[in-house]
Amino acid sequence: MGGNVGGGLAPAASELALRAQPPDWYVLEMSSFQLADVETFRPDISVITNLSPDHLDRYDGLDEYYADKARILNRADADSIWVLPAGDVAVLSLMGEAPGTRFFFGETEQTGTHAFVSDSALTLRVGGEVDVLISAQELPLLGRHNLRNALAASLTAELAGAQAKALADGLRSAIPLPHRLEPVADRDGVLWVNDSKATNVAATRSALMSLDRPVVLLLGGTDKGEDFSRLVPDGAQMRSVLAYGAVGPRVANEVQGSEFVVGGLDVVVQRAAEAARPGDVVLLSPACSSFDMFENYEERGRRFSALARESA
Amino acid sequence: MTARPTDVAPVGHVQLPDSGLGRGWEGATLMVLTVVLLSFGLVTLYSASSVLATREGLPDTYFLLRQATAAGAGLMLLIPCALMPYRWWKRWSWPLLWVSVVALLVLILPGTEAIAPLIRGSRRSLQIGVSAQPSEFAKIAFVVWTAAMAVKKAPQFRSLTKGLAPFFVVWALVLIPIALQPDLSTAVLIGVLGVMIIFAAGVRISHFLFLGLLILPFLQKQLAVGFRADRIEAFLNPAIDPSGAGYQVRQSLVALGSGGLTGVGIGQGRQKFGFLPDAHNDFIFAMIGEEWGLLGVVFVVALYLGIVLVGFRIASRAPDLFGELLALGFTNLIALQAVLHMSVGLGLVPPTGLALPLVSWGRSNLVVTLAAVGIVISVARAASGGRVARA
Repeated sequence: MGGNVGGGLAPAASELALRAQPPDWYVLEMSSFQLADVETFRPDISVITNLSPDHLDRYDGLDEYYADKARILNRADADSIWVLPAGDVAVLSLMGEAPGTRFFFGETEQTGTHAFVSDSALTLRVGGEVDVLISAQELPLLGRHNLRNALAASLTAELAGAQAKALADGLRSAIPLPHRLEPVADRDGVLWVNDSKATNVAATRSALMSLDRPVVLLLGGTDKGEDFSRLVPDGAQMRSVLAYGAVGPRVANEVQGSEFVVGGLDVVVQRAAEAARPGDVVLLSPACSSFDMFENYEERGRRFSALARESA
Repeated sequence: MTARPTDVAPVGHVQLPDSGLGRGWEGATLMVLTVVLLSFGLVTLYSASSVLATREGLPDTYFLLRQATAAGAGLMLLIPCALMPYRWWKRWSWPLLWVSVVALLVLILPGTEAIAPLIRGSRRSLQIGVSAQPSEFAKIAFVVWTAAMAVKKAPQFRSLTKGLAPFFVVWALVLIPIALQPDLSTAVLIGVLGVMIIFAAGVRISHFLFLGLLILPFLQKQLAVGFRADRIEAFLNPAIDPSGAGYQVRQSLVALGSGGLTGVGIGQGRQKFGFLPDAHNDFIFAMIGEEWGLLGVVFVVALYLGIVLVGFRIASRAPDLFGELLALGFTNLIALQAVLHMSVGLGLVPPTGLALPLVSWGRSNLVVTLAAVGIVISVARAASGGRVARA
C-alpha cells in the first residue's frame, strides 16, 4: 500500500523491492499531482471513489484538475477493470468511452450495480454469483462515506480474486482512523464517537449527516468567525447540542436548542452522559480549532476518548 | 572661521546628549537588542506555528498575528515604563502585589471555572474578554516588591527573623498559588529570582543554605508527583521510554542535530510537522536550531548575552540600591527563562514549560518581558552617564 498516503510512493516501493517474494498486488492511492507525471502507469484495476473540487490553488480550473485525474485512463485497454460509483455523473463523464470492463458500487441495489446494501447487509453480485458479506451494523467504521468505501474496497478485492469469507473478516476488523468519526466507547446503548479532526462547520455538518441515530453533539473551541446557524443539517436527529470553550456563548446563541456548558471537557462529558439515552450517539465534532483548551486536535480527541471510557 | 581641533581627546567628565534612552549607550543598546530579538522571534514563531494553525483549518498567520498584536501592546507599555522615573514603582509595590495575589487566588479557587478554565491539566489563565496569565504579571509585582522590601530591610539582613522572614511570608503568598495551578516551573523560577535579588542586596549565604534545607522536603514531595517523576526519570535515562516522557526531548535533539552548522533553512524545518509537540512555545529553541543551525543558535545566545551584560551594567550604574535591584531582577527574569528554556531544549534539565523570552508563543509573557525591558531602561535613564560612585 502506498501512494498519496503517508510518506508517498518511494519509501513503500523501496521497502517492497527488498522483499524476497514480490507481492501479488500493489495498492496505490494516486493523487492528481502524482497522476500528472505518469507515463506508463497501467493499473489492472482502477477505483474512482468520487470527484470533487480540490487544489484549486494549483490548478487554473476544475477542468484542468480533472484532466490530471483522467490521466489514469491513458493506457486503458480491453483488459482494464474499473470500479466506479453508480450513478455518479461526474465520474461517468470523466470515463467517457474508455475501454475495459466497468463495475459499480452504490448504497442501494439497482440494475447493473455490483456492490450494494441489501436488507442492511453489504452484498456483492459479480458474474451471477451473490455474496452476502456482513451487516452494515458490523462495520466498525461509521458514516455513509465509509459504507461506500467499504463497498468499493470489497468489490475491488473480489475482482482481484479474494474469497467472500476473507472479505467479511477484513471488513469486521477494519480499524477506524483516530479522531475521524472514531467510536471510542459503547456502553448502555450509547455510542461515544471522537471526531476531533472536524475543525470547521462543514466537517461537523457531514458528520451529523452520516449518522442515523439521535445525537448529543459536543462542540466548541477557538472562534474562527464561522456561521453556526446552518450547522445542523435538515433531518438530523439532535438529542442536544452542548457548546463549550471560547466560542461556546456564540454557538449557544446561533444554534437552536443548544446549551453553553461552563468548564473543561470533563464537565461537558459529564453533562453529555446525563443527556444521552440508550440508542444515542455522543459525538465530539467541535467545528472549531482546539487551541483555546488544548495543544492540538489530537490531544483534544485523546482527552475526550479517555473521559468517554471513564464515564461510559 | 577657526578650525576646530578634531583629534584632541576630551578632557574631564563627558556628558553624552540624552537620546531619550539615557545619557549612556546602555539604554539604547538594550532597546536595539530587544527589537532585534523580538523581530527574529516573530519570524521564528511564524515558521514554528504555521503548520499547527493550518492543521486546524486556521490561517497560517494565526499565531503570528496574535503574537504581533501582543508585541505592539508590549512596546506601547515599554515606552511609559522607560519614561517613568523608576522610583515610582516603590510606591506601588504593595498594591501591585495584592492585585497579583488576588488574581492568582481566583485561578485556584473552586467556582471560578467560568473565567479560569482548566486547560491542559492546569488553571493558568483568566479569560475575561482577553486571555491573560496572572502568573506572568505577578513577575513584575514580585520583582518590584522584593526590590523595594530589600532596600528597606537591607540594614537588618544579619538577622534571620527580622531581615528575612518577611520575604518568605509574602513570597509564599505568590508562589504557593502558582504552584497549585499547578505551574511548578514558574513558581520555582520566581522564587529563584527573589533569592537572587535579596542576595544582591546583601543577605548572608549561610541563611540561604539554612532555608534551602528547609524547603528541600517540600520540593522533593512536589517532584514525586506523577508526571514530574516521569519526566525526571526520562531525563536521567532517556533511552528507557523514547516514545513516552522522553519523547519531546528526543525530538528536540533530533531538530537541533538536523540543523547542523547553518540549518535546514528558514521555514524548511521538519520537526514542526507534528513530531515535536509545543514547537512554537516550550521547544521553540529547537526550531531555531533546526532551521538556522548552530549559527542561528549562537546568534540568539549572543543576543541574550548582550541583554544580560547591558542589563547588569545598568544595574551597576544605577543611582541607588532600588534601581540596581530592579535592573538586576528584570535582567535576571529574562536571563533565567532563556537559560532554562534552552537547557530544556538541549536535554540538560528535565522538561519545564518555560518560554524563550521575546520568541516563544505566549502573549502575557511577551507583554511582561517588554515591560521589564522598559523598567531596566528607566534605570539606565536615571544614571548620569560616566562613572558614578555610590555610597
